[in-house]
Amino acid sequence: MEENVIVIEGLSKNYKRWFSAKGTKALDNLTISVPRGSVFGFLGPNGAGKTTTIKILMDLIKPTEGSAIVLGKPAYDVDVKKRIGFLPDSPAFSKQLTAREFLSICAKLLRIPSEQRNETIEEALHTVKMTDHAKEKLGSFSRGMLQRIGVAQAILNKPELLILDEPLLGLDPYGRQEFKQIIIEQQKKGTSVFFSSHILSDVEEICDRIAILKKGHLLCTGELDKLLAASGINVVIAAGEDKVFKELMADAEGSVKNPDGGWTLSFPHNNPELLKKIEDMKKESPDALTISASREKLEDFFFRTVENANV
Amino acid sequence: MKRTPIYIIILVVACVAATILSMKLNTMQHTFCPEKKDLSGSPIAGFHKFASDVQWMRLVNYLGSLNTVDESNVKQVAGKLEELMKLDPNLEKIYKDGALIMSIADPAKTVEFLTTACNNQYLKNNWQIPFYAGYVMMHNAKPANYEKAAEFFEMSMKRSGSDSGASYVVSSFFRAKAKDMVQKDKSLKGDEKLALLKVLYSEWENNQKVGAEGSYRNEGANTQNLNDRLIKALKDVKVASEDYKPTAEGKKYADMVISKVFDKAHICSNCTAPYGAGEKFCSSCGTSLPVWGLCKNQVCKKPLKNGNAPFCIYCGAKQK
Amino acid sequence: MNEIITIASGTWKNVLRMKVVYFLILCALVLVASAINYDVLSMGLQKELMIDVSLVLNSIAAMLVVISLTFEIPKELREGVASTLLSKPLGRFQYLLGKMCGCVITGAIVCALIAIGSFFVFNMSFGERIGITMFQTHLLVILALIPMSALGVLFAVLLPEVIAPIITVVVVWFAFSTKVLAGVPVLYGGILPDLDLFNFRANAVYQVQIPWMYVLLVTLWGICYAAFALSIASIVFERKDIK
Repeated sequence: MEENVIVIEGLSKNYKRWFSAKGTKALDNLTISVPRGSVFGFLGPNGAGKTTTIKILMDLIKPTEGSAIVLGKPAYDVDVKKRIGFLPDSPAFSKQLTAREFLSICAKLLRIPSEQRNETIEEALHTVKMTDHAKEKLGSFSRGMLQRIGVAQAILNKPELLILDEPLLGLDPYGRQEFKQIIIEQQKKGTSVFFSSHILSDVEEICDRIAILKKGHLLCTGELDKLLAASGINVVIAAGEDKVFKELMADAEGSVKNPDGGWTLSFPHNNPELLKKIEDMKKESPDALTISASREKLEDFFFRTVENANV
Repeated sequence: MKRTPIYIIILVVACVAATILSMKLNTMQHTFCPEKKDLSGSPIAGFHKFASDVQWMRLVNYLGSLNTVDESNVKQVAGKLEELMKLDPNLEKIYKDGALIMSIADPAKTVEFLTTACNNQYLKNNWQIPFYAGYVMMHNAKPANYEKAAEFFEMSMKRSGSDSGASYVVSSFFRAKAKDMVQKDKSLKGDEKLALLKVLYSEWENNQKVGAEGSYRNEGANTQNLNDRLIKALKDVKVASEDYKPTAEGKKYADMVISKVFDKAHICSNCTAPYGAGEKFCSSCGTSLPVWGLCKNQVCKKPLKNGNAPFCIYCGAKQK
Repeated sequence: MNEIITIASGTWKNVLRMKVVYFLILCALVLVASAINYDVLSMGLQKELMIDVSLVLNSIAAMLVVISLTFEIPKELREGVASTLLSKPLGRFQYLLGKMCGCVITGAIVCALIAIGSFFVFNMSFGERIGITMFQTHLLVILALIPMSALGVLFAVLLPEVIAPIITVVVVWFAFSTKVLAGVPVLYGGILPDLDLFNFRANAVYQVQIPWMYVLLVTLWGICYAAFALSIASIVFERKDIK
C-alpha cells in the first residue's frame, strides 16, 4: 500500500485565453504529498489555486505541466475514482431528482453492487442527517442541505481518500460541527482527507497537516503542530520581576499581563541572540522566568505566511 | 488524451460509413420518393408538405376573392400554382382544381401543368388528369391540337381500366382522332362523321391484327363496344340528318365497312338496322336485303328462328 | 454501459418531470385536432392536413428536446453538476454518450406520446385505421433524434451556452433543407449532416410506403453520423477544463 495518497510533483496550470498568448498562471510548480490516514488542510486566499489543484486531482482540469498521482494511479485514471470521494466547491445537482434518486445515480456510477446500493444510500443519508428529506427534490433544498447531500455522495463508496473543496461553506454552526465529526469519523475508519477551506479555526481543529498556497505558489506545507510550534516561544515572567520584564520587553513581539500581575511575552523563533539572552537570564534567575514553546494560532500563522510571501 | 487516436479512428470510419450509406440512401429515395429531387430548394427544413398545405389554403382564399380568372390575373394564379407544384408535386388538387380554373384564360399553361402531372410518378394511375389535359387541348386551346389531345385521351384510357369514366374517355379519344384526321386530310372536306367511321374502322382493323383480347385498349374499347360504335358511325354516315347530308364517298366507305366488319352480322346496308333469318326487306327503311337462315331442304325452305342452328326445327334436315 | 444508462436515465428523468413538457404535448394534440376545422378552407384536404400537422409538430418537439440538451450540458458544466458526475468512475465520452442517449430517449418518449395522441385523434376524426406509412414517418422523426442529439452534444461542447442552441437549430434546419448538396459525396451525409434522409412527411399523407430496408439503413446512417459527431465532441471534451 502506498505511503502517500496524493503525490503532486511540479504541477503547473496556465489558463489560456482566446487571442491571448500569455494566459493566467493558476498553479506554478506545485509539489506536495499527502500521507495516508492524514487530514490535510489545503489553504490559501482566493485565487491561490486550491480549487484548480483539487480539480486536477479529480481530472476535471488538465495540468499544463507536472504530474498528480492519486492512490498510486495517475489522476486521469478513471478507475481510481472508485476509491475517491469528492465534494465540489458549490455542489449543484439535477433539480428534478430526489435526494435518493441522485444518490442512486452516484451509487450506480460508483459501481456499488445493486444489492448493497439501498443500504449504502440509507447509511450515507443517515450520516449526513438527511434521511427525512430523501424523497424531496433537490431543487427545493437549501445550500446547507445540498452541501449535506454533497457530502453523502462523497462518502457513498466508503472512499480511501476524501477530497473536499470548501466543504464547510454554507453550513450553519451545527452543520459545521456535524461535518467535522464526519471527517473525524472517516479518518478513524482509515480514510485520508484532503480539503480546502477558508475557515481556519476548523482546519486547525481537525487537520494534522496543511499546505498554504498563494497565487499558485506553495508557501509552506507540513505537519500542523510543527508549523505552529516552530513559530516562537512564550516567556512567562513572574510577578514582581520588573527588571527582567523591562529587559525583555523591548525585544518582545507581544505582551499580555497575567492575572497574578506577571507578564507573558512572546518572542520569534528566528533570533538566536535573543534566544540565548533569554536562556542566560533563565539560568541566572530560574524562578523569574518560565519558557515554553508558543503554539501560534493557525490564523496568525496563515496571515503571517501569506503576507510575508514574496509572490 | 490517450484516447484521442481511438476517437480519430472512429471519426474517420464513421464518416466514411455515413458517406457510403448516404449515397445508397439517396439512390433508394429516388425509387420510392422520386418527387424529392424536384422539390423546391428553399431552405424550409423539409417542411415542404406543410408549406404546400398552407399555400394551398392561401390559394383557395385568393381564388375566392376573384370574380373570374382572366388575362388580368392568370399570371398570378399560375405563379401560385407553380409554387405549389414545387412544394408538393403530388398534390392532385393543384391540377384537378387549381390548373383547370385557368383553362380558359391560359389553356397552354393549363396543359403544361397537366402534362407535368401526367409525368408524375405518384399520379401515374390517375386517368382524370390526362383526360382533362386532352379536353383542354381539344376544346380550349387555340388552335386546338387534336393529335396531342388524342394522345392524352389514349393515356387516360390506358390508365382508367374498368373505371366507370372509361366510356366517355374512349368517345373523346375517337372524336379527337377524327377531328385530327379532318384537320390533316383535306380530301375529307370536313366530314367528321366519315372521319370517325374511318378511325373506328382503322381501330377495328388493328384489333383484328392483334386480336381483341390482346389489344392494348381497355375494356371500354373492346370488340363489342367497338362494333356498337361502328354501327352508330355507319348510321351517321349513311342516314341524313338536319346538319349532315350523306356523301357518295361516305356511303361507299360505309358499304365497304359493312362488308368487311358485318358480313355475318346481317345488318341493313342502308340504315345498319339488324334483321332476322328469312327477312327480305329492312323493317326500318324497306331496303331489299340478302335473305339468310332458310332451311337447306329445298322442300321445307322455312326461315329458321336460330339462323345458325345445326338442324331445321320444321323438317329436321341437317343444316351444315 | 451501465454508466451510460445511468447518465441517460438522469437526463430523461430530469426532462420528463417538467410539467411544461406535458402541457406542450397537450397543445400539440389540440393543434392536430384543430386541423379538422380546415375542411372548407383546404377544399377537403383536412385529413391530409391533420397527418401533416401531427408530423410537423412531432418534428418540432424533437427539435425542442435537442435544444434542451444544448442548454443542459453547458448548464451542468457551469453549475458543477458535471463535476460531481465526472468525479465518479465515468469517462468523459461515456458522459457525452449518456447525455445523447438520454436526449434520444426523452425525445422518443415525447414524440411517441404526440404520435399516439395524433393517431387517436385521427381515428376519432375520420374513423380510419392508421396506415403503416404514418407509423413509419413518425418512427423516422424519432430516429432522426439520433444524429440530431449528437449534433446537439457536439455544439454544446464546442460552443458557449448562449450560442450552442442557436447554432444547433441553424445546423439542423439546414441539414433538413440543403438537399441540393446531396450529390456531394463525403461532404454531405458524411461531414455535413443530411437529415432530409429522415424526412418523409409527404409519404405519410400519400400513403407511399417506405421500404423497411431503407428505415434500417437510415438508422444505421444516424448511428454512424452520431459516432462521427460524438468523436469530435469527445476529442474536444477530453481536453476541456471543467470549471
